[in-house]
Amino acid sequence: MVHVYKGSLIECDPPTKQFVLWISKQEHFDVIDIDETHLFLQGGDERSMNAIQRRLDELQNENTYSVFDKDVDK
Amino acid sequence: MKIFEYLSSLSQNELEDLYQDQWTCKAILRTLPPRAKQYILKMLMIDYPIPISSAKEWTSSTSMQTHKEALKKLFDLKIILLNRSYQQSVSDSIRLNPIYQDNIKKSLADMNQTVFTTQKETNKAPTIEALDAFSKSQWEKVLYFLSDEQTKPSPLISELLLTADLTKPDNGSLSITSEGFKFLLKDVYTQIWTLLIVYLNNNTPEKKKDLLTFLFKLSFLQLGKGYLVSNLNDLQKELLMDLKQFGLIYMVSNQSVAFYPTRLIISLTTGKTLSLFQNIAAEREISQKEQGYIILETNYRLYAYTSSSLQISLLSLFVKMLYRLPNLAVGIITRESIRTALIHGITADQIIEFVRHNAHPNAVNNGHPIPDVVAEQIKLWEAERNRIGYTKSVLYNSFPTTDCYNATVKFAQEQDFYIYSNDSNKTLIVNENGNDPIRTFIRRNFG
Repeated sequence: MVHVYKGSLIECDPPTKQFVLWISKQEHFDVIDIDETHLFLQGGDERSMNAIQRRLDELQNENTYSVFDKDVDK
Repeated sequence: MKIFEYLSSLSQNELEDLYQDQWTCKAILRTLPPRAKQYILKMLMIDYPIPISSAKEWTSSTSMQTHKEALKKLFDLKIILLNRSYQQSVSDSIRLNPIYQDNIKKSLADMNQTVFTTQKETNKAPTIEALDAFSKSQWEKVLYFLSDEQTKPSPLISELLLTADLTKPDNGSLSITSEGFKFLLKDVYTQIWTLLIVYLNNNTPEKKKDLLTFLFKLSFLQLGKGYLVSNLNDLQKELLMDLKQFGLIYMVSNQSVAFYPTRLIISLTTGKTLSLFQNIAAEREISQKEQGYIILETNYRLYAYTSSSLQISLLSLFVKMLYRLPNLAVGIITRESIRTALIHGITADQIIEFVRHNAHPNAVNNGHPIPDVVAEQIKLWEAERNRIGYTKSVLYNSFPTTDCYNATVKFAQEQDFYIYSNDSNKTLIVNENGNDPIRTFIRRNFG
């Protein structure tokens, strides 16, 4: 029998997909893994998308090093 | 122009109310593009409807486009009325709006009319330079409220900016929106009209009409002359006080007997200055002053040759300002500074456009108002924030047979519900509208 799920289709690059999968495990989101660049978030609403967006943002911040920003903040 | 957009949005009754006033009619006539002006004058003395086909003879086939634009504008403003005929033998006809026609005729025939009584010559009157400086500083203050979150605007202005969606409340203070940033990039007349239209819409329809009429009248005043406040009615006095805050009107104090119009209000409906006092040299001098001031280097350093706090606080929306010297401010574009701007809803394109628009002439002459590397990097910083795209959708999987899967995908594609599918694990994703039709489709064919 065909299964039907409502939610959001997430489209992104492969590393980001892995990261989203990892977050989903922590936050207990139900995801369906489709392929390298696509994921399906069951019942994905604005709130869970914002949570993912925020975590991604934090990741970006950790991974950037700006000599200049550090200098000025001193 | 902004004012036409606004007037076109009014109903025929509202517009005809406005056309009761001669000055309004004249001001509108003055503001229209040349061709529209010509058509009005062409039809001015004709008191009966003329067939629309004769309007086609007014233009050569090469300038059909401008002809159509002019006519459309006049229809939108309800200056030309179209009579649709419902008989086959009679064609559609057009005529000037009788109220408008009558008032233009009258005002053209009447030679000695004055808008408001002028004050007797005094030596206390402010000079034109003083008026220009006043209106400039006053309007910069308004813009300053937008770009700097620390300043406290006057209640009237902060309310207007809020209603216009140019700022939004943010932890008790106000912060600029993406609309607000676009607003800051526009020319001054569009800015003034944007705020004035919000101001007008805050009033009741009857008051709105009177205020608009008053605004149009003000544009016929002469720069450098004083006009008596005592000849105005209460509503006009009220508006005068508010216009003073925008820098459109100058008064020595709130109790002064005379008010002085500034260049801003006089050129408001024309978009350019019609003042007799101004000559071409002065015009050139002004445009020299207003040219660009930004030099952006490939090392992300930004030099702004300006002493205006407004321009510096504008820049600090997306630049980390470092030093400020008397006529120069130095800043640097960093990931953090761009990020803050992006979070505020300002887009990378807006930032790039802003720098390009205000680039220093020397940078422009070099051919690189903004270095490619910086522009690219700003775009990348923006893209970094949008690494994932998501769409609300419905997913189907565990199809019983490949045939069933293929048929459903084909159906979804035909009906335009299709978003994505993966053949290897037989997964189909469609948009939300597609849910019911596809469910019925599967049930009917394979259920």
